[in-house]
Amino acid sequence: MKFLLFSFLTILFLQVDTLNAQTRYMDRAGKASFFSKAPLENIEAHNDQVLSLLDVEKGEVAVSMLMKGFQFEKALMQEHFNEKYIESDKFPKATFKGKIKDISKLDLTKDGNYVVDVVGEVTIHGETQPLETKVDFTVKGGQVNANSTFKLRVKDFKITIPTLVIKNIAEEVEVKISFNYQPS
Amino acid sequence: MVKKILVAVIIVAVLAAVAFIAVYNKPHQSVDNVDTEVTAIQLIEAFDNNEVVANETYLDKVIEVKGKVRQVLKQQNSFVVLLGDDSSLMSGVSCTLDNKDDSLAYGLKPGDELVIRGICTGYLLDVVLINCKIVN
Repeated sequence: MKFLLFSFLTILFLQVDTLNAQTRYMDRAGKASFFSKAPLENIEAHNDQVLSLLDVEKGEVAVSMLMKGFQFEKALMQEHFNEKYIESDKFPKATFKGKIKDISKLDLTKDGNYVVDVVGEVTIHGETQPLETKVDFTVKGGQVNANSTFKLRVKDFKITIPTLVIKNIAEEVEVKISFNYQPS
Repeated sequence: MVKKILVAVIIVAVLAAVAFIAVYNKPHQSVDNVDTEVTAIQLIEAFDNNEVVANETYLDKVIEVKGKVRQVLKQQNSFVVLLGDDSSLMSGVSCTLDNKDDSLAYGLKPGDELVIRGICTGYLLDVVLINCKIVN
């Protein structure tokens, strides 16, 4: 009898535990990349160590990344990005905080594809701007993937580009983010 | 005389082009020379205690970190190795491997003792290193 009660309690606790675990998700090695298409050269950079937290219950998403974590094909571009444009020593992180508008559409416990609207604020180079984007969630066998693509205007973040190289850098930069969330 | 000037102009132009190409293609910061050696736990604690001070010590430096593998994360085009004890510490040391070392990542298991060298880019939840090479 004692054994039965014990088993019952264990099962109950385990269930409560998984229920809790399923409302909060984390990815500590998310991916962010950006692409600038300009007449003289295309510039691409990626960061594979982006941190993101997702709270399904509250419908909140938070993203944080280090600007120095962006890797470029050319070392010179990386240096200019950090020292001249983004000023990584002064503004080391880029962050996003937002809410999933239609959270009821999202069920991470069920396999499927969910497209939701996320609205929030992005901070880069010390400047905060509103951002609204569609995020594509794919749930398959307990794996939660989230992808989004959006455009940011360099000017909005007070990033000044010398006229000499203005033809090398696009006014609008395409940003892609990709997360593989784990329960946390 | 005109010929001499022309030759001089061409030489200068070629030199300028060579210099431009050399600067444009300059290599990425190398991790051959280690600035500091530290254990994963020491590194995490340093950033956890005081991020400003830790940044002064470690940021942009080539650091050699010794620690236990907690997790190996496969990315689209790279591997991220997370170092640190799986104890009470939430934070770890997150290392993006240089593509040349990708083949080594397949053999890594949680609990393996590892020495990794990389460039410190700062602290989020984890201390972040890029351009990492597995030393041992």
